[in-house]
Amino acid sequence: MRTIDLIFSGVYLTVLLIAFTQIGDLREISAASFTSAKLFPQLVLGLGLVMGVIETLRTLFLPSPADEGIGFRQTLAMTFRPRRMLLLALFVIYLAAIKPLGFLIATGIFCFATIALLTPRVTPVSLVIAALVSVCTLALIYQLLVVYLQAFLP
Amino acid sequence: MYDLMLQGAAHVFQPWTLFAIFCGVTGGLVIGSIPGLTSTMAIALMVPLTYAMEIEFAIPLLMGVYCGAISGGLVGAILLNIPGTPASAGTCLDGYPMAAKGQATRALGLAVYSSMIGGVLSGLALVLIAPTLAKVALSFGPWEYFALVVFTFTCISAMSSKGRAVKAFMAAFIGLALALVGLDEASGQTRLTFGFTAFESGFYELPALIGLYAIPQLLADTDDIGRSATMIKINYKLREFMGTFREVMSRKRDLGRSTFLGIVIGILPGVGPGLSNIVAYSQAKRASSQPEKFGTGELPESVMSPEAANNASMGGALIPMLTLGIPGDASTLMMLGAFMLHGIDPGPLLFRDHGDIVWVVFIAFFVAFAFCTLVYHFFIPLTVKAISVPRQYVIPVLLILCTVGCYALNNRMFDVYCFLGFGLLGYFLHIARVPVLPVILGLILGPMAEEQLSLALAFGQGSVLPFVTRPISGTILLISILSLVLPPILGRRRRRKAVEPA
Amino acid sequence: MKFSSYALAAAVSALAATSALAFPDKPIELVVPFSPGGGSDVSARVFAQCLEGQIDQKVLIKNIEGARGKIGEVEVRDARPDGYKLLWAHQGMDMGLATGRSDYNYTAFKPVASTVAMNYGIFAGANSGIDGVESLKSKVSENPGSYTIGTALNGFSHFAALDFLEQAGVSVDDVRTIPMSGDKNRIVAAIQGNLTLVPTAVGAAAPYVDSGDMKPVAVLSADRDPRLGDAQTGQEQGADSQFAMYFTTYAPKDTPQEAIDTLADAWIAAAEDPACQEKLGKQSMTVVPAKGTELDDVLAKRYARIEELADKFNLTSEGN
Repeated sequence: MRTIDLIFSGVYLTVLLIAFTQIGDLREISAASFTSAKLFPQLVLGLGLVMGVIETLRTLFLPSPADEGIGFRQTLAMTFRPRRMLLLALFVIYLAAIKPLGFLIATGIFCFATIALLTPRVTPVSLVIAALVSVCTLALIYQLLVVYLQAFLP
Repeated sequence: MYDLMLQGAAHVFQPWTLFAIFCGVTGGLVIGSIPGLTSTMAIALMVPLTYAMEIEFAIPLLMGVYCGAISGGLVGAILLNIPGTPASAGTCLDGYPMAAKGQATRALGLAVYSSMIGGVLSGLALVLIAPTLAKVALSFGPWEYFALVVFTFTCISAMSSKGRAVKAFMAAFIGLALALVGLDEASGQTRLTFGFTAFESGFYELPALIGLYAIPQLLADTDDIGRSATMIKINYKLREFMGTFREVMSRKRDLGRSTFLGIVIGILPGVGPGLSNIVAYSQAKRASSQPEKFGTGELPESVMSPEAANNASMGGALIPMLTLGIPGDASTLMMLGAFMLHGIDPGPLLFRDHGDIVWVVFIAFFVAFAFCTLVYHFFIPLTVKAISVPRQYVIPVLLILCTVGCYALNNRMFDVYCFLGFGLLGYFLHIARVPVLPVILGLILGPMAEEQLSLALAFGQGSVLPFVTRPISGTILLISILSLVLPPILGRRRRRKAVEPA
Repeated sequence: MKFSSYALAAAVSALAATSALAFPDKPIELVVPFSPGGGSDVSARVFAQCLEGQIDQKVLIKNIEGARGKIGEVEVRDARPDGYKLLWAHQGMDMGLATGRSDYNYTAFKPVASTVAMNYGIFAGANSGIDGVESLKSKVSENPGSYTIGTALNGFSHFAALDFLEQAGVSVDDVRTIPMSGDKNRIVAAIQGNLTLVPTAVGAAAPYVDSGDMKPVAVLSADRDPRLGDAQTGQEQGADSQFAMYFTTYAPKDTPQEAIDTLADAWIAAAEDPACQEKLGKQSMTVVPAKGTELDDVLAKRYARIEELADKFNLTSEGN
């Protein structure tokens, strides 16, 4: 887990440092001389950076705790499991498709495709169930939000 | 006073009004318990609908939705590990592990009964000492608020597992840094938007909350597809569910402490249930004789404390709204709008000018909780059944509902993209084994801390002394420092004592 | 071929004619760039109720908040200009350009009609001892620098406060400006005694004036506000500051003129309906109807004043 910890610290420090340099561009409020527009952001980001440095040093120099359960490779393999990545990819495509296709069509296709692709063994019956679930979801959303609550759909 | 109370009761105990409360509670429960559809959304959508109704009818209906939706959040938190509101984020910590052990009924029972008790006690506080409590709320200036934020921040240390406290604080700083994005309300300039207009609004906490919890959880859930053996096996028995009531009553100290914290935090305008559940959880852990068992889902009080506190905050949040006209959280802000549209100004004169309406609110609050408890006994078995539906059907439907829910909050696709972005962040943190709750806390606390700090400095003409010299803020800050410093020292001493006899 | 293209052109023009006649043939979205329950939202919803009967289609309120209204404004600005997506904005939009926060003002839109107005006022905490322009002037000249005014910097309350202080002849340097946003936050701070002066909508402050927690200093309108009949206007006290919040409905820039005319007629008819005025009066809102060229003049005049204030108090120079 040490490698993961170090990667986390690295990303964290980089992001906070970028933010910190950006804050320097803020201008001061002239009307209120007692407060500064930079004070709070710099306080927060500075403290955050200190935390990050402490944790990085701790991971580097202190012996890591005993629960060395899973190794780095295993964690990576778990992170990028095909099913997880498939779901994520489908969801990203779905969000991108809402605008061009319209919400109801995109949702129907997404729901059907996800169920069909995630089901371990695709059979005609599972496809019928997928279609049924998609239709029911759409009906529920439409009925609840549009008819009862008069909300807007994307 | 009594004739006003009777008048109020007469308004509420009309068959149609009761029916409205019942529908509000049921609808609120359903929406609140579905991850992605949040209580804020339910109320935001309901309030405009009540504009056309009579006020004696609209207020009870809204109270029903309010009670139902906020307490409904516990179902998603316990069964799916996806809280519907920040108010039930603390419930995830122990509720989900307990459910994962096959004790879902126990976890739900504990949460339901303790939240009902917390709610009713806060309702009593609302009725009996609202004006006094309102004075307490008014004595909180920016110094006290800032001290409270610092205190809540120190609670993070109590919520992380051993040796990972620094990681939890780092997560909180991620939240604080993200909260900086957008328009700086005080100075009116934009920060960290990198030139994108869409970022100027900043990130809203609800898409962030749903994204951080739902996406990592749903991605991880795909591993369970086709493996029926790992499914949570739940045998629901009504007797077992009712039996937890006795377990709840056996922890009166925790119940009392959490309710008290919930009410006190709830009456402070702008703070609300989102923080109280976390504070109550950490205080229960500090007071506990077995703090190491928190987070494992074994102890009843670890599920009860956050739930009792968040429902207690609901009654608390109504106090400043009714007596001062100041909203306690996003939901009461919208209810305030409903009052105003009906030509009633909540504020210092509400009790004098519209005493009957005040009583309508009070009585509707209790009736709503009664219905809520009742409905839960029929509703829980349904939700427990829903959990054993194969994952491949649940996952896409929940993702769609989250999308709709995030969009409906502010009618913007940007929030849906935020949901995805925070989901990826949450997944990264999940892999790095960093808790996500502090991120949410940072996101909620950040703007508040900033506003109150700059106000305190502006009022005090740049001096930081009032933070220490004002009695309430000084005390809170002292407790915060002690709570950070003491536990490690005491823990070391306890460990030494434990070692010595051996 | 010639015949068919002629027929096609005829068909298209006929279609265009019917669609122009039929406007509106679906519900109209009115975007309120602030959260539900706030002053903008309440005014829009009450007015939308008034519009029923004046226009054949429903007018639906859509809240898109964020960045002091900018998110909702940009949404409408970039929307398809068909007259079905409108914006309900006040002068806060123009202040964005005047202070360099945004790069557009009302001229990026086509104004439909100005209808609802919310009176604004300057109030003081009851324990400050200030109850009018005279006492404010004398107190400030006795102790310059010990009184405070809370405003959202570069926002509506800031401009209203500056307009008032300038007309009252109080130097801005003698009153400390505290940056704070939100009517309610300012009111609470004034009741607590941490803040002296609060610029806020009259309707928001009225309950606290009734209960004696706050004192009106001046109402920034030509006539007294119906909700607070005893509160004197600035004009009556020699400080001729008139700075109400005017809600104007805007459409995207390229919206066809016929659609604008149809909408404007309905808007004005609704605003002039006495039943509607009574409904708005309950929310302590008044009606100042204006459309067409008259509206253009009014908007230009309001913007000129905003720019003048921004220049005078140096709000622009730090903008870029």
